[in-house]
Amino acid sequence: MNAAVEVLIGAALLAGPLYKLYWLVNTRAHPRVQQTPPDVSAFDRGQEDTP
Amino acid sequence: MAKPHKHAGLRLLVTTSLADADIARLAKQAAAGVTVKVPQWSSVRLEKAEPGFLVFSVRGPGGLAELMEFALEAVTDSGATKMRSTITRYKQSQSTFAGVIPTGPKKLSGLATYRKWIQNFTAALREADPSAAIDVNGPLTASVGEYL
Repeated sequence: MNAAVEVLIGAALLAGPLYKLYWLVNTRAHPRVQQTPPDVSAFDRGQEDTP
Repeated sequence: MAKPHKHAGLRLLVTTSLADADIARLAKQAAAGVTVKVPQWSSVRLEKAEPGFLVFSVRGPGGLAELMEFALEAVTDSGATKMRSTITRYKQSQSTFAGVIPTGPKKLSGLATYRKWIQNFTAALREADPSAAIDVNGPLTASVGEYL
């Protein structure tokens, strides 16, 4: 009985940090290391939007 | 669906006569100005560049966690360039008791960094084009309204 309670308490205490780790690792849209930074000159629209 | 954070709609509206190349350069410089490199506590990184569209991400310590994503969009209207920056994705954090029970208000992660980017970008725009019309729909003081 005591062992089960200890396991439950341990699980409850670990749940927060584990969720935080999951949050850090899985909820990002872009990779941590950027292989090739985008070329900022691509922002130039040229003549396509000029009236 | 969860209620959006009070400041999730913070946006910048600019009407300017600057060329796209200058706008992109200033936006990237503003992002570099926000980045704290040693130690790398927070940073703003350019993620995507397309004609008239830039996407930046606000990253946490070490660049590990992506806290927020915002986009800068430009269109031509009546010969002037109209730009709008909007938060496209964000995370909220909340202090907890024993790592589980929420105890405090929700915090919009990366908001202070986004505000600093807006400040840097608008300052650079004003310098480059004093006639630029700039409108920000919220406070830019780092400590105001970060919490819901």
